[in-house]
Amino acid sequence: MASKIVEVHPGIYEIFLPLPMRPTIINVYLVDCHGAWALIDTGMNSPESIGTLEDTFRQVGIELEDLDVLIATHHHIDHFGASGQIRSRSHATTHIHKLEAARADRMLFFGRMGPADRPESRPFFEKHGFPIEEHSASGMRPAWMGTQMYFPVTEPDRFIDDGDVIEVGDRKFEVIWTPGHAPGHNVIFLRKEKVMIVGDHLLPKITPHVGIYPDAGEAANPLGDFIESQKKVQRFDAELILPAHGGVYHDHRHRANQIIEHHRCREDEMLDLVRGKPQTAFEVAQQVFGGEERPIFHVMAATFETLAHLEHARIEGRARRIERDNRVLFQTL
Amino acid sequence: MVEKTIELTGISANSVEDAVQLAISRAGVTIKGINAAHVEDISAIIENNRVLRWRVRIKATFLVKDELHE
Ligand SMILES: [Zn+2]
Repeated sequence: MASKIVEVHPGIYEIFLPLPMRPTIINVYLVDCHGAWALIDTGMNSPESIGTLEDTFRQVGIELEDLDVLIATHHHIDHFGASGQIRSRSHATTHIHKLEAARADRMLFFGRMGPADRPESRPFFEKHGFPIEEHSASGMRPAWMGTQMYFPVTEPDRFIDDGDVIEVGDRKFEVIWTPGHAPGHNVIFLRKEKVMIVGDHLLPKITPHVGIYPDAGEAANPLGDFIESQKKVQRFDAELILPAHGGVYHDHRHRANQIIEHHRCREDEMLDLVRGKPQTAFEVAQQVFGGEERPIFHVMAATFETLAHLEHARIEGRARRIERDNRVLFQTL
Repeated sequence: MVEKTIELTGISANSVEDAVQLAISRAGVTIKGINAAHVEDISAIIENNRVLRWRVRIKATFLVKDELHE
């Protein structure tokens, strides 16, 4: 069996935890702070994932109960889902951004209710062209929703924000706020070691989902935030980049440029489609992401990611928004 | 010197030029130094007697460079 833990830098361990969905692995990072231990992100609260954490911790000579500090990049299940379990066993001081703690809390409040189950969000689906009446709401939420697999800390010990430095033993974890994929997403930077733990912000092979959801508010521009956050991390000097999915790598500036370019090209494709004929986010998504049979959950994510692109283009003056018959259409300027 | 050639198909709702540009831009995210594109085939997708899409098949060429590993 392949080892589930690798020392990627002296005293910094990458642990591979299983996920029941794609991507199938999340990397979390255990840091020996010489006298204390810190963990960045948690995996899901499944028996397999917790078991892997226990086994790998033992390989470096500690128990899960010995953990001192927990830092989360954002509230998503694969990053923060086991935080409640880990904190109750270890009493680790738990850190997350305020916006993310609020989202974790909301997720628990809604329980099994996905966005499509909430009556107040139906007009949002409809105006963006999504045929919500044709699909059962249950198909639009992930299977883990409302289960024990998501067991987040809802009252963290500390909220973290841009520029904070969390001192643990002889390590200093700097917080770089990188909104986009999630509004309170943070990259954790070890300046002395030149190591950057990037969460989902800067993945080596895939790009994280960036979407506008019904509860986002009128001023939301998550794609604009995401691109700004890509430029922001380029201002830091790092030599080893530790992502939440995929292999460790070295050149974060190069990868950030690729991600910015990738989104620019995708926007060009979308604007090409709505140059002659105004269309809804749903219609554009069907063409750019493919309209073939796919889980409706993915169609929803594609629609809201397309909306994030079109809104970004509108805010930057490359597209306009037309409201017609309770539909929002976009057209290239 | 060695050049490498890849085949791409760009699709635009507007024009042949746009279809070529979209294909080249997308390839350029991961491939640096594309210096030529040869248009191999042009076709139009028609719906209700109107051109819905331009499909342009191109061969794009770039120089193969050795990357120094620091
Ligand atoms: Zn995430």
